[in-house]
Amino acid sequence: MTSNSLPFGLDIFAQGAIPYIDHYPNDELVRMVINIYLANQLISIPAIIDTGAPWCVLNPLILEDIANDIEAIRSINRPLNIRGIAYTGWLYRVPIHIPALLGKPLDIEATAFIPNLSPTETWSYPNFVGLQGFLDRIRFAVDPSSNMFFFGKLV
Amino acid sequence: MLVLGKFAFGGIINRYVNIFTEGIMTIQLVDEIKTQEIKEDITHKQQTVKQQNINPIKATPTSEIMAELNEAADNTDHHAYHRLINQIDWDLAEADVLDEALGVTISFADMKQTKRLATLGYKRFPEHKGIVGAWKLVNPKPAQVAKKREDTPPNWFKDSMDWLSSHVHDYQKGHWMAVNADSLVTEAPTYAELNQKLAKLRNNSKIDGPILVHQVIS
Repeated sequence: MTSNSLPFGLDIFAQGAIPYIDHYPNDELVRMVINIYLANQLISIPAIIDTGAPWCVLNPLILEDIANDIEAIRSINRPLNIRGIAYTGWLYRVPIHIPALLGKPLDIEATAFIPNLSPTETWSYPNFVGLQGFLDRIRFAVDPSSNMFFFGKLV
Repeated sequence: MLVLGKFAFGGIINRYVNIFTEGIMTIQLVDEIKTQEIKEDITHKQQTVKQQNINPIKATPTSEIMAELNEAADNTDHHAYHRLINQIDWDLAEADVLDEALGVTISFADMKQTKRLATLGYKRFPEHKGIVGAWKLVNPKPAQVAKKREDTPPNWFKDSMDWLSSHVHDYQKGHWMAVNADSLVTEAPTYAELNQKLAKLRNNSKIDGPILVHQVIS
């Protein structure tokens, strides 16, 4: 077993693991935050793991940048409440890459909500990876003693 | 006489004991019968409910019922929603009605019902854009093990996030930063400008290592 392999036994459940941080910059709450890559981007972004979020909610400006790699699949006409503000928008298929410190990374076809913003409106929320459209497409586990987020394909 | 009396008295006692015993047995028998009847009644009711679940009497998706469903969604009335969504015979629904219903199930983030209606709708109306969209929503490609994009040291993400947490207050809300562990690579007031700067640095081979990008949110 090499030093970047998953601990014995965990490789039955997961393919990879990544450290998570317990805070998001400028956010007071305790969180679980990992870094993810969108589509084929060479940069990664921090994203809060949130089982309470129905979809992934990602910064619209970053998603504009990868417009060719994402697919609009369904409009959301009933406003989605994001931190107290209601937004309509679209659901998109967004490829997300979870890098791995241990084991192997995973590519997921996630579903993200992109809000309709007015020209003068700015986006000022964290990135979220939610239950529907991300976490429900993988196996995942958390080890708080080592701050590790384990992930793997569904069987 | 005494013997006879004793015999008679004993007979009377026996008779009442028998009656008493018979009474107990009768009560027991009645209880058993009643219990059995109750059991049969329960079994019958269970079978009826089961039969109803297999062949429930469903409602046609009329405009009135659809209005009720939409109202449930507008009011976030989960109880009414669950009652109606299961009550309606979606096999009778036209494409636009199904699409409307999918808008409701998605608004409730009810993926089970979304999958049910989308699957049903996709079979019947594979060209309807809204239905196809919903079908795609519930039929993603499976997650795949991927190739590593770049090597990151074990503490890279923590160091990057710690740097951001320490320095976000130096920038205005909405400002963009690109960091690599405990150092700032570049920053810009807009994402477009940040990308331009990063591209320039890459072209000049001045980016060494992974990059984490963050926008100041407050």
